[in-house]
Amino acid sequence: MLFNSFGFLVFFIVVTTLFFTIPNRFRWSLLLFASCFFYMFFKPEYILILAFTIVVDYFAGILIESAEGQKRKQFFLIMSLVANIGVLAVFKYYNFINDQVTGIARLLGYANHIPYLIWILPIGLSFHTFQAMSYTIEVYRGNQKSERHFGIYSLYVMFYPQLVSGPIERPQNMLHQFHEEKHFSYENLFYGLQRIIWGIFKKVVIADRLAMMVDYIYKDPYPWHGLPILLAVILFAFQIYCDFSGYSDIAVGTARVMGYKLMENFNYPFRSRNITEFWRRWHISLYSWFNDYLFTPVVINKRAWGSWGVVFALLVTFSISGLWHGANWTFILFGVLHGLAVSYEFLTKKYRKRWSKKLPVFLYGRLSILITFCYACITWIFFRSTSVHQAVYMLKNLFKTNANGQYFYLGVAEIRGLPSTYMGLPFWQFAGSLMLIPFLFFSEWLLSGDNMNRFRTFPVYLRWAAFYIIILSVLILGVFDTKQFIYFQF
Amino acid sequence: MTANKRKKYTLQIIWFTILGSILIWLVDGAIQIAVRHSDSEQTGKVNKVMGHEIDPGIMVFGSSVGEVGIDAPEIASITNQSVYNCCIDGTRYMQYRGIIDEFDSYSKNNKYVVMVESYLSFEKIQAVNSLDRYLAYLNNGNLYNSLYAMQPDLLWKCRYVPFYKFIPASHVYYKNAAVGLKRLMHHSKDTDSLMGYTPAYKTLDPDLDSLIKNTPHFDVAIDSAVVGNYIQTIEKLQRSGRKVVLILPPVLNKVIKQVTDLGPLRNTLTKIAQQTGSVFYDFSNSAICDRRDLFYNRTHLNATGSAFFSKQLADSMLTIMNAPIANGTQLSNAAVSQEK
Repeated sequence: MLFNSFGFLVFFIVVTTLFFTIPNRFRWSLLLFASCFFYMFFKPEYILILAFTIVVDYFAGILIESAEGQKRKQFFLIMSLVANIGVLAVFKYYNFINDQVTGIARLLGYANHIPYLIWILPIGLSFHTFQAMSYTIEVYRGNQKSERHFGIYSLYVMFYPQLVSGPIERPQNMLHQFHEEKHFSYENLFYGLQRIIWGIFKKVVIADRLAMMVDYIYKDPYPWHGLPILLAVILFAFQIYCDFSGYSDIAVGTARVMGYKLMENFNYPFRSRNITEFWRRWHISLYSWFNDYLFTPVVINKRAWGSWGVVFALLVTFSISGLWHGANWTFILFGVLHGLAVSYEFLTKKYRKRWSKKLPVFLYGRLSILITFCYACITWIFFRSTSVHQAVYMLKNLFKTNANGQYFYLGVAEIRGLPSTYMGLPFWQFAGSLMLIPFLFFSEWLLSGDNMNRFRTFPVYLRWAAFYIIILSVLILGVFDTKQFIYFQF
Repeated sequence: MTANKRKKYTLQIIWFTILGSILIWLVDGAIQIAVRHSDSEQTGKVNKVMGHEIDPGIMVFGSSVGEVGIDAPEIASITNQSVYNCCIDGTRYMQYRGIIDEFDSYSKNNKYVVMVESYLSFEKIQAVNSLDRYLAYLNNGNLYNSLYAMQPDLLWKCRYVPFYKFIPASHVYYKNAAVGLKRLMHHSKDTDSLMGYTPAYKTLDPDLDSLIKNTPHFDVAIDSAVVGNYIQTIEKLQRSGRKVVLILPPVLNKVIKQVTDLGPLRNTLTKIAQQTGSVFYDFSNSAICDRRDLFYNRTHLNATGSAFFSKQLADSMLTIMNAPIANGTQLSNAAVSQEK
């Protein structure tokens, strides 16, 4: 079930109403049932995969906690991690690994007879697997008691607002919330609905409108040169931001209406002054996960290497985080490029501080934001492209002119009675879609601060007017072609 | 939270919802009214029928094949009858059934209904093409029922779920609202001198041959339920005292033969004509079909081709008007011989 569908609207109203009308002791079962229903809407049989990881990790948690001796605890943890990573490896990486084996075998003059598996990747597999893994690791580390209530533990993995695209929660933040009694609160309702409406606006109005232009270029970039490629690259940055942060807003808002607080996944990432800061503001739940469970252990393990140990840990972490996104070299390169940037920033921190003093603070700050944004855009070329070859073509042609020496040629002139288009859209739609970006910045500025501070200081009639405009914009300008959220595929 | 605060918040929610619903309802209504006044392209045609604005002596229904192929002014000048080309692109019989029913419900002057068919006419379709054109009229039973048969879930929501219309509406809907609003403000009158006909000033697509080469051979799909409904429509029109003329327009013979066989379609139309007592003119084998200069693709005539074909059609229509032919007669040979 998609958050931007009519079905979800009905589902949300029914589940939330039932949630506050039934006694507290039945609420976990309602939420669990609703979450199963929500997930099974995509492809019912894949719930079995979820059930497998839930059962394995539930018992692993209990066994780790009750095991005597570090070695036994470690054994149960490894068993749980192998099961989780095994599921990921089979469903997400099997064909990719098989591809690599085929390539190597061909180089050596052999044929690879291992068959390919044809199946659709279960939606949100990487998200719920990582959330499940964080539970057993935290139990192993002694930061979390094992959950004895099977239903509540299942709900921790399956809670529908964050089941398919995060935020990837930690057991310390969520499990106790499922045991608490939640009371209806107007503050939660207002805050939650605001986040939902804003999230839907970002998804269906901004992300999906920009997607029309971005997809037009990316589906076949080879005839294009110069500005259209540059625009597609820049617009994709805003598309993916609005798509994913829109999803996160809806997830946070949906949970908040029922009184559950999910962690924030975004913190105005386009204000980042360097790539390191960018990753503290972008997909926070994933990168804090990698920081806690991969980067820190590797750094500790390689502490004898000094600074190079940190660089090693950064490169390993970012490469794996790239691979987390998808089984393709483009995603690995996306991760590696970020790893290189963060490593560079780590190694040159002192020098950069010295340079910064030579420039006015305002200029240095703005320049840093611009450079960071440009670098992120370049890495997203790899993220969005279907192959490394396509990404390289896009990179090479960012600033090249076409065969007629034109750089600013954006469209297709009128042919055979069809009107001219600009990146696949009529001019007024093209121009209107571009105007959404300044509107996004203005709105984010308005909503920034804790709990939408600036916006909340407005008089009621202005706030209501703003909401009505947003709702009408969603209805009139929204793209409702049941386009999935980009991060569903991960 | 105090009882007062709770009361205040509850009232806020109620007021916000009421005001919001009224606002959206007003916007929705205003857009619908504006769209109904649009004279732009296909929506304009739908508006004319749904608004009961046209009542010609000869009414032509069909898809794009008829839209570009039937030169209404030419037929009008030859037959001395008022003619309107109500063919809508991308619209097969299942979809324009509601428009015919609505036309039949109000028309007093119409004597002849021409139905222009193509090899897609009797295929069962499960998605409404360009729903935007009809969104403003979903309360109309005739239109709603015909579209509902194709996509029941979507149509039901659009009609009964408040504001759901906004979901399938594309930019075309709002563009038509803008056109309609402009017309309303300027009290513009209808200036469609071509009477619904859209001439295609194009020559044959140079890539057509290679395109055809890559098109796999397919069979013309004929769904018995669709044919059954088609017969019902004809009989309904006949009960209203109208003469129904079925047309299979010219197709680019050499090309069409490479991809499909029109035989089953001809047979079906002949049988329908015999069963209902209507007239079937088959132009799909006429001499026009061998003239590449008269087409812009394998099934669509260009402006020159349509003038040529419309003259033939008008002459054939005159035959019916002046000397009524026995019911169910297939006139393909007559048409061919005229052309030759």
